[in-house]
Order: sequence, then structure tokens, then C-alpha cells
Amino acid sequence: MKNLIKISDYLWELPVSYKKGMRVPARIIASEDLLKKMEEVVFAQTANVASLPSLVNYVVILPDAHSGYGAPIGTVFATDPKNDGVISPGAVGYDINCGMRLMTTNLTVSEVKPKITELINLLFNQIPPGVGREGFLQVTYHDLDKIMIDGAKWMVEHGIGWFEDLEKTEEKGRIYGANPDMVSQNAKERGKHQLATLGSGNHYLEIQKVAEIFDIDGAQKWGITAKDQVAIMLHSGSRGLGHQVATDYIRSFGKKMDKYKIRISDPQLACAPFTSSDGQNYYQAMAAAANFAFANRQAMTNRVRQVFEKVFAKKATELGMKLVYDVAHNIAKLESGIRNKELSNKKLLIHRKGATRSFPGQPVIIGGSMETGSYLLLGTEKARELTFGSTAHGSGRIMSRHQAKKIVSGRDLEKKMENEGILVKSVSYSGLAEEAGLAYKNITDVVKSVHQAGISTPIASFKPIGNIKG
Amino acid sequence: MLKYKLLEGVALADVAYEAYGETMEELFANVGEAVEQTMVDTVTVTPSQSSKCKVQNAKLEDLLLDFLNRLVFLKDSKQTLFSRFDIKIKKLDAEGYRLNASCWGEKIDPVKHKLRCDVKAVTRHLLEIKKIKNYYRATVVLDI
Repeated sequence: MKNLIKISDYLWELPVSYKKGMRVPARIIASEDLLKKMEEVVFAQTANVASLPSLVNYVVILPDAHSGYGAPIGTVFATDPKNDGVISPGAVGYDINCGMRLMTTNLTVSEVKPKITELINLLFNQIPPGVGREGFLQVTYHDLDKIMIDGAKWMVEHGIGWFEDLEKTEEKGRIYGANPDMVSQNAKERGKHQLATLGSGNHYLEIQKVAEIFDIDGAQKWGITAKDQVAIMLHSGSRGLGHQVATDYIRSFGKKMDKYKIRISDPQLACAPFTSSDGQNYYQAMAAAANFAFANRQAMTNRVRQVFEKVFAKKATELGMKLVYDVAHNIAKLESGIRNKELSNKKLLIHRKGATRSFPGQPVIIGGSMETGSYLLLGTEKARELTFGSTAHGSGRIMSRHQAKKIVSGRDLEKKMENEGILVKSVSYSGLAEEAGLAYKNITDVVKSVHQAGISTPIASFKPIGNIKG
Repeated sequence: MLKYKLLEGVALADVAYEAYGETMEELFANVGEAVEQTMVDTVTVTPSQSSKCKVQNAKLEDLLLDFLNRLVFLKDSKQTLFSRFDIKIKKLDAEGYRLNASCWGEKIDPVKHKLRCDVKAVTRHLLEIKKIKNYYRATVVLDI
């Protein structure tokens, strides 16, 4: 703490003098309380990121940040591709395009509660969660290549979802420049059977109710009309395919640091100039994995609609099951219009690891722990000035999985949540305990920090009534 | 001798292990078991089928990474989990090390197996193999 310079109540600077090798400072968006809750390792890892070559201005750390490897979870930085700017697979993370999706319904809690057990059981069967599970959507390798190129668009074109869903998805569910040839056969083998599967860890599918509306007009615009309206939130990513792409390129980049004369403090931060063949190969593979993730969330959305149609004997259109938005929170993208006049026309490569894009007026979904609820916010112009158009992605872990399990048992937690009106179905009790609310920071504090810093504005909050997890 | 233990305070959202072995083969088998135990209670996995794993690398740490990555790969691509490993490691003169392993387990059955948390990847973070007096120690961090 003693090294940090206070810029305002919600903005701090970690100066280059913090650690030898730092080329730019870091800017931390957080209340003093959340800042104090960040582990010391977060600052050491931030300093390692700030030592990468060709960074623009500074590294951004968000209020939900916690230690990762290479970059902390909750990191944003920009490099300039025209000035030898690098791309780092480790600074995107293993779960490429892990992200959040939010869908409305026109149902109320009182209509859904009597059917919650049936809904949760069906969703649990239709969207298999947990270790190594196969999904119901089987595709050929030829299709898989197309999915990696076209993302969510492929799904919609094959009747899996609605065309309007694409308009409500970051990058319209398809990042250009994806090249399946840059994705290894191992990655394809890992992901081929996993479309429409949830995964495990902190991934979840949640039936929620609108708890509070902070901005009536803003909420209305995105289909959130009243308290107790039921919505569905989804947290998942690129499954084994994306994990393998990251594994492959972190490994191959590690051997190329001498070639590019780049010194890094942590092998997890291995990087290459974006315009080099290595940089381009990774970008094309990452885009392919990101598109797979968009397609995966699209396929799950379709399954959710089918389950609701079955349970309520009405069409999904009649049930108002419209997408609010889909955002990525582990990704590197070329974006312009960032920061200031000098840079606004420049395309910068923005790395977001555990961070959400926050462009003016764009919905931002911040998923909380399964006990405490989630938020919908809107992006702001100020985010472009301060944080390369980015904001927080979740509540941020504060306690290790092991510690959480020592404090709470999965069975007790299941009971406690049931008493609070949340039906949870999990593959494993230990996995459930690891995701207990007490293992996370208070999401309201995180949202307050991003709001006060001006990088996004809350429009509604949500509380779970049913949850499935791996 | 303890096979492995969880390391606290290393990766908040993930899992770090320190594993031990009197021989390099034992060390690799114990790290393999730690990876599998993260995903499943291996007592519930019958070692009825074997999958071969052959990898070669100049450095022992990289060899370990290749071996563990193979286990993660087989979990997703063949939906297989393992509970026993027969491992042979050979030092090659110029090209480093070669590992030949038979991994014993079975296809994932959510009813039979007590499943835990998916391992997404084996990271290079803090990856190390060290000789301590009369045994070897490995540190690995898994992304979950």
C-alpha cells in the first residue's frame, strides 16, 4: 500500500518505481477497502505485466482483481501493433472468450417458482455440466472448422437460436480473422464433443429474478421491466478447445523469447510482436477459439429456450426469451476509439483477462457468486478515457477453494441456499463449497467502485432462484 | 512418504500442488494422481483400460508438463479419467528425456465416479522439479 499513489477515492497508481523493470505504471480502479483486500501477489504480477514491451500508457487493474499467473485476473492493457506491440496468450488466459450471457423472460418469480425443480433438473440434463462431459450437439470436423470461423452465426444459420441474438452479442458473435488451421488437432479433439456443455469451476447457469432497478429507462431499453421479472444468466467459455489453444501457444511462445529479444519476468507472460508470424498465428487461433465460445453460449441459449418451452408449454418468443447481451471477459481484440484524441483513430490491441468491454451504452454483465447475485451495467465514455473501454467482470475471489471447503460443506451450503430460496444442483458437493459466496468479495462493493470511477453505470441487479454448476 | 499436498497462498482461484517421489517415475505418477484427484475421487475409478502416453523433451519440467497435458487432453477427447500410472523415464544422451507411460482408468461415468472440478490446463507458473536429499519434489499449478 505504501507504494501506491492515490489519484482519487477510486483510482490509484502503482508507479514504475515499485519494481525494477516496469516500463509503465499501473492504474488500479478500487475503493480503499477493496484495494486492501487485494493480495500482495496481485501487485507483483501487475508489475510483471507492466514490464512487457510496447505498452500504451499504463496497465489497468480492476476492483475484482485477484492473483492469477502471468497477469492477475482483472487486468487490461493495450499494445500498439504498429509500434512492435506484442500479443501474449497468457495475458488472455486459458479459457479464451470465457464470458457472460443474460437473457430475459416475461415470467415472474411467482410463475417460475412452482416449476423451479423441473426447470433445474431439465437444464442439468440438457446442458451437461462438469468434468469431461459430452454435449448433445455433435458436429463433424468440417462443421467445427466452420464454427471456429463463423461463431454464433453458424449456430443461428443452422436453426440454433435467433438472428436477433447476434445483434446482442459482442462482435456479433464472430471475431474476424479466425483461422482453424492455426488450431491444433489436439484442441479440435478436445472441443469437438463439448458444444453446449457448461464446464465446471466457477461456470454456471442461473435462473434469476430482477432484484433492483437503478435506471428505469436504461433497464427498459434492454428488456428489464420490473422487479421479480425472471432472467437467465450463463457463465461459460471455449471449453477444452480454447484451453488447448492457450496451452499450445503459451508453450510455443515460451521458446521464442530469445528470437524476439524480449525479457519476461514470468514464463506465463510469453509474448510475440502482434505483426510477427507467431503473433498472427496465435491471434488467428485465439479468434477461432473465441468464436467457438460464442457458438457454445449460443447453443446453450437455444437449449435453455427449449427447456422453458417444454415446461411452460409456450414458444420461447411468447415467453419473451430475448438476449440482453453476451460479453467476453478473456480476450485480446483490436479496438479503436480508445483513450484520447491522439490515440482515438489508432487500432490498439486490447488484452482483457477477467475484464469486460465497457463501450458507451453497451450492456456489461458482472456475474457474482451463486449466493449473492449479479449486476447489469452500461458502459461509459469515461471507460474509454480511463480503462481502454473496460470494466470489472465478476466479484473476484478472496479465499482459496481449499479454504472455502474447510469452512463450509457442500451439503450444508445446498441447504442454506435452499432456505434462502435458491435451488442449486451441482455435479459435486466439493465443487459447490468451493464456489460459496464467502469465497468472494462483495459484488456490490465491486459495482460501487466501477460506478464511482465512472467506467460503467449499474442499471439492475439480479438474485438467483435456481443454479446449475459443474 | 507423502505423495503430494495442496499448496495454499499460490493461486487463489486455482490449485497448486507439491508432489514427492523417491524416483522420478514415482514423482511423475504422484503428480499425475494429484491432477486426477482434482477432477475425481480416484477411488471410484476402476483401472480397467490403459492408454499409452509417449513424450520426449529436453527438460524434465517440460516432460512433466507434456505428460500432465496428455492426461488433460485424454479427459476431454476420450472422456477418460485415470487412477493408476506405470511410468518409465529414460535419459537420452543428447535429446533429453523420454517418458513411456501406461495410464489406467476408465471412461467418465457421472453416476459411478465422484466427480470434482475440471482441470482446464497445467500452467508453467512456478513449475519446478527439484532434488531434495534422497527424494524429488515437483511444484505444479493447475488452471481450473
